[in-house]
Amino acid sequence: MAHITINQYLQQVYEAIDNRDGAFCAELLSFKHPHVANPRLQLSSPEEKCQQVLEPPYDEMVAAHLRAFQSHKEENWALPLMFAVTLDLRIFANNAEQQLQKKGKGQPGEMMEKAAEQLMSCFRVCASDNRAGIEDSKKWGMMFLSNQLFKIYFKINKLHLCKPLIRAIDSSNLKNDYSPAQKVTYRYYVGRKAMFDSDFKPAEECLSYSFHHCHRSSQKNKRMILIYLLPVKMLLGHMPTPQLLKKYDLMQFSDVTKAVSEGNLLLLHNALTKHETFFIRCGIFLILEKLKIITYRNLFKKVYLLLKTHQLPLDAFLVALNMMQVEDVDVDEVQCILANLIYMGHIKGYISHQHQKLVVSKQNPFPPLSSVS
Amino acid sequence: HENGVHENPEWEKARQALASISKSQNTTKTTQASRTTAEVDSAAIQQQQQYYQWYQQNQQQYPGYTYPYNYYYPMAPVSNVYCSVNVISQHVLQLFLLASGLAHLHLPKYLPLLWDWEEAPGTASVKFNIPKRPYQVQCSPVSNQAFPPGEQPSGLNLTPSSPATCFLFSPQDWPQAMKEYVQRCFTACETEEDKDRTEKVLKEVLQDRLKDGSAYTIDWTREPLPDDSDSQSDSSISSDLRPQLSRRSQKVARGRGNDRDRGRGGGERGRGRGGKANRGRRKGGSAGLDFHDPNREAKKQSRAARFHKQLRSEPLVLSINALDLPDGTQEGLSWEDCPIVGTCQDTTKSYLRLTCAPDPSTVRPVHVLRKSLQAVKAHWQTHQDYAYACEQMKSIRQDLTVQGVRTDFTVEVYECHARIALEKGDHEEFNQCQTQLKALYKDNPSENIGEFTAYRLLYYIFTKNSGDLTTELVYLTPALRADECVAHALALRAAWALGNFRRFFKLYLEAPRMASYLIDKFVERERKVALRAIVKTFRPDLPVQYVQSTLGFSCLDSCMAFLTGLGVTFTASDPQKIDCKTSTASLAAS
Repeated sequence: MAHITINQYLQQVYEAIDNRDGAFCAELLSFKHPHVANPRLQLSSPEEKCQQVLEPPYDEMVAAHLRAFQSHKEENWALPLMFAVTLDLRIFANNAEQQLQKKGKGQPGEMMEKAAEQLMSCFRVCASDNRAGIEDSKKWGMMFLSNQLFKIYFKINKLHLCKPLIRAIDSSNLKNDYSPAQKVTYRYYVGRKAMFDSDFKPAEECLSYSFHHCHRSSQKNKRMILIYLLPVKMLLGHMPTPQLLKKYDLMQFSDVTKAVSEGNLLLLHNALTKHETFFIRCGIFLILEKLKIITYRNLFKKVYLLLKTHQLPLDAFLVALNMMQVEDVDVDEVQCILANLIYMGHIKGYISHQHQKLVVSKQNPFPPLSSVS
Repeated sequence: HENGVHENPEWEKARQALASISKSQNTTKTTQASRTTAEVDSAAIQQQQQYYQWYQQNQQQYPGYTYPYNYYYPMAPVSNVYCSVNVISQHVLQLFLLASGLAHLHLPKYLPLLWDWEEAPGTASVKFNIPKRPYQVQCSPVSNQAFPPGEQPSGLNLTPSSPATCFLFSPQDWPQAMKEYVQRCFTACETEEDKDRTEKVLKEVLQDRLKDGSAYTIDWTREPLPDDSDSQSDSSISSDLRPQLSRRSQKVARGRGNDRDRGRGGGERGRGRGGKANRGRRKGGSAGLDFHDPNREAKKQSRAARFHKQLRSEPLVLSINALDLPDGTQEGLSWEDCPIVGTCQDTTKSYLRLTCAPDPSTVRPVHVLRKSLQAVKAHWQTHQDYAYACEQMKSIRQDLTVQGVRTDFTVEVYECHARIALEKGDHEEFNQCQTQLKALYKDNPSENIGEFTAYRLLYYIFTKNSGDLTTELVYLTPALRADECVAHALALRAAWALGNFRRFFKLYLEAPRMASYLIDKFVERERKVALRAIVKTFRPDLPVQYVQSTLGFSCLDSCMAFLTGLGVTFTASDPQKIDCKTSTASLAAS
């Protein structure tokens, strides 16, 4: 909407009128609609064009509407309007999606994608606002729009589209000056994106920021952030306290936590299965799965600590696994698991195939989890 | 995370007002506007009153201020102002004004917004230049006989835009008969619209009469009352900036009067009489909601004729040039709504992308298509001509689509094509088919739903699409999970996710049905990853045989070929053993 030409816009108005589409027509004439941000519609003398395309009284009305845009060139007071409408747009798109789904029509994600296209145009307009001074710049709209777009992209599973938004905001000089609420939301999504890309360190930073700066009264939001922060922290070796889990009603994680720190594969498997639906719906199941690796590492570390030697027979690990009631594993698979741990840097050592032993380094053979990638 | 914007409640009111419009307008769509009409009314009314009062103040600016409606017709006091939420125009108006008025408050940042209403809206130098339409009442300067004796034309520059030109004579100067005539005209009016119309016509008539002096000479008692004739061309209908939005189920509110001047700063807007008065009138009483205009059709025609526009009377022609897109359905268009019934009897048919509705004689009905499918299968088995098979399958799919056929047979066709594509290794075509199947399975689950669900999971592993993979997991029912193919795919996925290559390749060798064709697509990739880990882990050397069995190679030779291709080196003493240390370096380079 923010990139169409005046002729296209007028054509749309005409069609809306012709088709008696009052709702759409209202949008086209409302300041709430993103088209207000379109510099191509900011004509000083739109009358002639309007008259060409539209009948009275619409021509005059639209001309007046377009005239009003003039004052927007170097101002950004329309931003709150834009925010309101983009929010509504996203919500409406969501509802439209659900309606369509109920009727079994339309592609999933279609409405949301359309909404996203609209928002993206607005974003471009804001991002490219170089004319106005910093106080009047439309750049202030960038973070809000990004946040709205993030929500859509996460919903329709097109996370790669987040990248240009993140890049744009990172390179902007305003990035630390947006409102705290916006920054919290922004970091939350950037953190989740990083999680998705398996960049756990940056993910932890973003999500921690988000969690700590989230207003303490927004329990729901804090809980949401925590749902993503917890797996990341656990992968980095930091287990949450039971008190924390209780406070935010996230007891689904308690068994998981226990299992991982004890190296208890069976408990982990059960915990993940028990709350599988919850984890899958939150989109963290796959990440939590990776905790299995951490669990193996913890278990094998115990073996090492028990045997007190640097040359560990592979059988010892097999026994440990069997004790944890992991039955269907053979020595080959043990080697495979160890190979992975070594390759990932969780164990410093090597396997002697000939001697069927794991030889670990004398120094720090099991480096702390936080120091590993 | 909703945006915690601290904002002026005015925005909220405006937003509510607008939201209520969409709510009341969307009779066929449902929106989320949860505000009640009552809330909006009061909010909107408040805003109305704000503007109304302020507008009042500014009236005094106009020296030649023309007469408000209530001069002719008693008007209800302001507190009866009724704002119909259905008259969108007012809300738009208010939003314009609100927004414009706020423009000039200096905002260091847009948040927090602390609006002060120190400046009356509009008194700041907001430009809201509305194009000026020539008024139908043109007071042309100077023509001596226009003025009754005693009156001289003023030295005023009588431009059309000046309000002073509009009524040169105050009502005190009017002949009594004329005043009575005016009274009669308005008494004859029943609705707001009538009054608006009448006012307009009267203005013109009276002006003319006053100008040329005939006002004093004609017999007003015999003067016909103005009626609404079609001859009133549109240019004489002064612009009304309230959008006349027609809705499917309601008639249009014909806004009247000149609303342009909202009494904003600057007197050039002129003709204030119409605007404010009409606004008041619009709201006065319940008649404001009477949209009925008996002459609407006639006016519409004349308008259309005037602008040479043709109102669309035929339905749109559907264009269907995207029939075979992966998603298969085109926006807004569904073959189920207007399917064709084919009559072609040919078993085979070449495939052409459609750009318009096809001729039914070229489309095969279902019973013919069944034969076609058999023929293609047979042909593929004997000739293995993929290009031919693919084309035939596509044309069968197309015929099914244009006939709106979405049955078990359709499923069969897509499953067949998918399998052929898999055999050939054409994963793009396969993906197209399996996407269609996903949709088709909703209404036509076949016994192969497990098989193809498994393929879908494997496809996501191939494309490393964890997002869609997760979504797929969400929708797996326990019954599906128990399916042999699905269970296998899930196990493979778990092994892959944890880097358990041993298990991964074991499962690969046990793949049911055609799964191995799909896994083949990413076997090489996974072997490479596994080899890197192996070569880093084992010291000093490792038998090739171990790699062969662990990575699922069917024979030693293929394994060797794989290894040497990657630059793996072997020990001098035993060529059947990999020298892990040196191989690590060469693998890292590859």
